[in-house]
Amino acid sequence: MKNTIIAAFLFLASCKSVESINRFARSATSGIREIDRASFGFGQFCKLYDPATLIELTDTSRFAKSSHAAVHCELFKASDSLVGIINQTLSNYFSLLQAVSDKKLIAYNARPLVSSLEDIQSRLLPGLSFSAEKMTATKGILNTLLNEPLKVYRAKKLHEIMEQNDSALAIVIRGYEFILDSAMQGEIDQATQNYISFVYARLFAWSDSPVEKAFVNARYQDFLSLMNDERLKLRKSVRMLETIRAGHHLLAIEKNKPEFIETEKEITEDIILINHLIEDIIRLTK
Amino acid sequence: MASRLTPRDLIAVAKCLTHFQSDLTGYELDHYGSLNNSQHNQIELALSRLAAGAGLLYANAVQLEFEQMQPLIQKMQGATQDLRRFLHKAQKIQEVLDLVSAVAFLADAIVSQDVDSIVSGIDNIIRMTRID
Repeated sequence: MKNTIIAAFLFLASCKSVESINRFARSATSGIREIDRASFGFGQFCKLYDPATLIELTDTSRFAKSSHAAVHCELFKASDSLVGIINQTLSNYFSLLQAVSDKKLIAYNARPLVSSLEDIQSRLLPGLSFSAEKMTATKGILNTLLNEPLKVYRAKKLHEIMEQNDSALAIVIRGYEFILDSAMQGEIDQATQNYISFVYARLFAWSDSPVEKAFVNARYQDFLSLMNDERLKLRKSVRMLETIRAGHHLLAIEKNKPEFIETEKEITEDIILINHLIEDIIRLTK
Repeated sequence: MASRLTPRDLIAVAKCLTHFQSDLTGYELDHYGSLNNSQHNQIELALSRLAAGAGLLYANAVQLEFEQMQPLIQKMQGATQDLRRFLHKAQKIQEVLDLVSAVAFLADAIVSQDVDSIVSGIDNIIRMTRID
């Protein structure tokens, strides 16, 4: 009796944890895709905020000279491709976690099979006379026999894969965070400095009247505001990655924890946070 | 013996270049009127080089970081493949179970001598077993 209760508890816990994995993986996939969509790539920084491009903004000739400055952005684009590989790897992993944990994946319904067999039996072996109650019970047993072992196997497999890859995922996510938080933030600082060096300083020094200076300052503020939005997006992306890493770890080790309700609560909070961060990033990108 | 630069080292050097550029710009702005054209050009050249160097170092840090975590990225890709294989397997099992139901439906139609149901039952089985 005791063993049956424990088995039933473990079974229920495994079903619930798969559901949590599914909800978490769905949010993580959307979040990682949003980071990719919203990111201002290294190539764009090179193209838009290169000194040669910025100097055009201070061109005082009546018609701005056409720019054919020798900008070599290949290295920057190569970095974008690598960031793309990291993003794609994480996105594929979470999207497959979502697909495998989907409850529709293992949802065989024995009703059509039993109904057909019931019909055949009534024609070929009318003497057996199965009652409707027995047929319903048969459907239930068949559904359980065909679906449940697969569900338990799936939960085991999912936990196994998540546990085996938890530390690799943590390192990849930390690397991604480093790229966004240090390298990309660095490019934003550099773009801001380039604007100051090649646009603002010149225009400010050339402007004579307070009106001109105010105009130059207003343009500088617009530029700073754009860069601040990019910084904010990066900070929110990093926070989202951190939440995804922590949530994955929690789900990977969850099977060892007896208090699943606590885990589920934490995962739900993580999912809410990820969804809020996605909304914030979308709002900042518009 | 020279040790290998880490991505963090590159970022630190890049930040130094950005700061240096900032100081040089500050100097130029403070002494704008007193500098001659040649000095302005020299400063601009130095600023361009500092900007290009810093920008490249930030981008290069990504490549160095990627190089370090490449084996782990491959491990994650392997995990994704495992999940894809499992998904495929589960979908196949579901297809087989659906096929059993379809065969039972056809058997029922044959026993009932219902020609329309026999035709739709056969169509259904052909559709389920078709290899695209």
